[in-house]
Amino acid sequence: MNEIQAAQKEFGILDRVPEGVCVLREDFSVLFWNRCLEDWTGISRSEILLKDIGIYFPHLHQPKYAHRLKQIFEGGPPTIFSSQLHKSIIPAQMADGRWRIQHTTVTTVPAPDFRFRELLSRACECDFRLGNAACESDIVESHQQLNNPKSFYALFVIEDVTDLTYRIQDYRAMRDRALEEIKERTKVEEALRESQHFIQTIADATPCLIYIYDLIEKRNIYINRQVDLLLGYTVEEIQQMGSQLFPNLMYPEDLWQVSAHQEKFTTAQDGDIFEREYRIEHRSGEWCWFHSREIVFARTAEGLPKQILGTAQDITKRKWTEEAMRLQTERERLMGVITQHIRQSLNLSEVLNTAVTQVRQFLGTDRAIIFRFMPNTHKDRNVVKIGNVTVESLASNCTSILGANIPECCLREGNFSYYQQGNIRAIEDVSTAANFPKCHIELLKKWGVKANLEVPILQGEQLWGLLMVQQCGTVRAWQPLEIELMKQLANQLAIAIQQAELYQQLQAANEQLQRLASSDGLTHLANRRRFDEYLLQQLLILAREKQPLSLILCDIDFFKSYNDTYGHQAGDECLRLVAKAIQRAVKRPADLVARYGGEEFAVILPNTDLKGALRVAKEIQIRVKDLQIPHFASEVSDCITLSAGVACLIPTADISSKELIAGADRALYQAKNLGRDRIVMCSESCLSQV
Amino acid sequence: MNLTVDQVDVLQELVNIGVGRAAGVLNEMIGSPICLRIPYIKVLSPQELQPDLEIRFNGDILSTVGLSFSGSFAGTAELIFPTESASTLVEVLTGETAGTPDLDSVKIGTLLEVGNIVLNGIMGSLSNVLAQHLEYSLPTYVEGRIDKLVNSKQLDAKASVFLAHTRFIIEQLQIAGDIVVIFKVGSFDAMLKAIDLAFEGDNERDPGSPERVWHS
Repeated sequence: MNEIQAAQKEFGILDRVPEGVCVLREDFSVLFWNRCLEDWTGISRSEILLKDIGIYFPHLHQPKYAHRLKQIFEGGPPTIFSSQLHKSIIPAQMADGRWRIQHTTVTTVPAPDFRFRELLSRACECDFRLGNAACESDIVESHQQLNNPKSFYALFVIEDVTDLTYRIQDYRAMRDRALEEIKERTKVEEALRESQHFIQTIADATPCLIYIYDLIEKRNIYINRQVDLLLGYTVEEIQQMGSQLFPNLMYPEDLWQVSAHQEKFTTAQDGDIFEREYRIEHRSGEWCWFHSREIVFARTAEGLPKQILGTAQDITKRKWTEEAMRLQTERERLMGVITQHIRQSLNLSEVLNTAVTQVRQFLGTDRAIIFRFMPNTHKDRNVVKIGNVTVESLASNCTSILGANIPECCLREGNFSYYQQGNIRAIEDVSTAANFPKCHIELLKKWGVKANLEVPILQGEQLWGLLMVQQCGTVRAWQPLEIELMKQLANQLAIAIQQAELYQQLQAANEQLQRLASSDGLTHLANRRRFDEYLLQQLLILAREKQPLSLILCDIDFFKSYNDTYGHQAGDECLRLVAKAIQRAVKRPADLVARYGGEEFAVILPNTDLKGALRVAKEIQIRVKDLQIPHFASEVSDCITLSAGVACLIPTADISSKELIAGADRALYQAKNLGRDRIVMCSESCLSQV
Repeated sequence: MNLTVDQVDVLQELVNIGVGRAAGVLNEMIGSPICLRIPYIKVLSPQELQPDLEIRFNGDILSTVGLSFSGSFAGTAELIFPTESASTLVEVLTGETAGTPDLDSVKIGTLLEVGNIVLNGIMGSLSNVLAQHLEYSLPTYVEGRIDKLVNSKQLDAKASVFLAHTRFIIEQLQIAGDIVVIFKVGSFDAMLKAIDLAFEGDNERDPGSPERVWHS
């Protein structure tokens, strides 16, 4: 135990250091075990001292430790067991379960002399027992001198580098992470730059405006380079305009809709697209149409929309096309309407009136007139020099010029042929008009016209008239569309006029034909055919009305003798005179007088009872007598007389015209039998008697 | 300084023995074959040392492990690596991938132990065979350029420098370093005398086999 005590005495101070310290003898037995190691390992020094450390930590006998420790016991240089290559030389667990990481330095410590003496004495004892003590003692002495008689202990100083190691590991992990993050960030930044470049390139190459507008700051935040191409302004110029961007560039009518449009965004959901069309002024002063699509791009912390992202496409050309299409369609529609109205009638004055009314309504002018030339055959043939305003349509602020003439000076050769070639005269402002005949301007001024548009109405090469629209209140710039419309209208009008005129002629011809077909050539009274037709017609009407229909049949007495006496020409003349007389006796338009046979006449009297018919018959009788046509061959008078039969009935569905005629015929026959120059009535009861 | 052929042979052999032992220890520790070779040795004056190292290491930053000794002969033994090679060596030995080429304390610990093993092998070999007991300081680690390392030694112009090139061959990697042992004035002579003394009696028997001397 002396050795233990000596070691404790020598190394005891190392109980106070916070590192593990132990001392091993050459035979690996533990000579010193400090408090720190007791703490770490839970092995007390009373337990471990003088025992082989290999009992507790067998790995120390492995060659990789044993070989190096051997050097120590021989007094060699210090040996280091680094924490990196040997986690623990004396494995010890900490309270938290981790193993202590140890950095160990082993140094040589000379062993005290007594140890050698002890060894020596033991050896001597041995040798003594062998009986060769003196000799052996010499050997030992010499050995001591030759082979470094000193022996060495190994002093283990074990440093706990657990925290340090972990800290270093943490630090390294942190550093690696930081490096990784930096690398990642660099990559992200690179990708971002690339994607920015990509987006920028796309944005600038897209043939429409792409922009971000800040609703709160009321200015443009971003706009792509297309703005230069589409509006003639650079990106910088647009952004310098700030809140004046829209007031500067937007069409006034569209400008005051901006706030209403932006209002929509307050309730917009993300992804809602708002579309709009508006006009923006190009640097050159031209108005460009744009169609925009906008979405909410960024919001404030409160969730209110802050920025909007939009694209705007130049639709100017489309708008032009649309407008042209619209005008074309409108013109065609109006043309259709006007033409239809005009053609609804074949009556010329109606056609002309419709035309002026429609054209004034459509063009919104104060006055529309048609001036018609009248053919003047007196002087130069084919040259018309008179004419007047035939129809007009007027606004309330205008005075009528209906019937006004155009003075001769306006229709001189040059002027007239100007119209004949289909040329149009459009005068925006009469007071400043140049290049127009002075006479014409004077006339317009006289009529109180400020602006005038006139087109000739031509029928082939014939100048029929002029269609004029006039502005009395203000000057007016006539639009190409309006002029075009007037031209087309004049063409349509010419056709309509021609048709109406042809129709008029046709109607006249028809009337003539009709007259010829239904009248008697000699007396110009209705013929028998017409009589039958009319009677049938009246029967149907009066059957419906349950009104009486009367018929008078009359016959010139002894007309055959008259013919024989006076000749056929006199007979014809007599018939003509009698016919006129009968015609004059019949007053009402609905009454029809017809030549029924040779010298027989018939009178159809609708809505006339027997009494009325008798009155008419009497009137006829008197008028014929009043003719005083001499007839010496007559047996009843020396003048021409008539015998008449009168019949009347209220028609019903089952009564035919024949019955009425038969009634009247019987009455006439009776009148002749009773001695002529008289009237016999045939009532329904009478008919039944006969 | 002129050495006899025998002296050179003996020194070469001593260094080989030491390095062989160190390789054995490293092999046992790492569990993978490490080969350490010493192609040649030479003795220089301190003035010659710096240019010689500069040619070899091309102005790199160097990592050195030093071990001072005193006793019948005194001086410093150094193992010198270019820092990058040292870093590679540590990676191979610890199996850890270095984040950066700088050597933090983890690497310093490892290098210190490797240097300790190699230098102990050499010094053990020298002292043991010459039966000289030497006192050693604790190994130290220093990093810097050659001039700084050489100047810090404040070498006496008459000191002797014993230089041995080493080469670590691990897993097809070759890491070159130098072992430099600087002897204080007179120490190298003392060592040579000790060598001569130690081999005097054996010369007839087998002068070229110092290994056998080691084992005896």
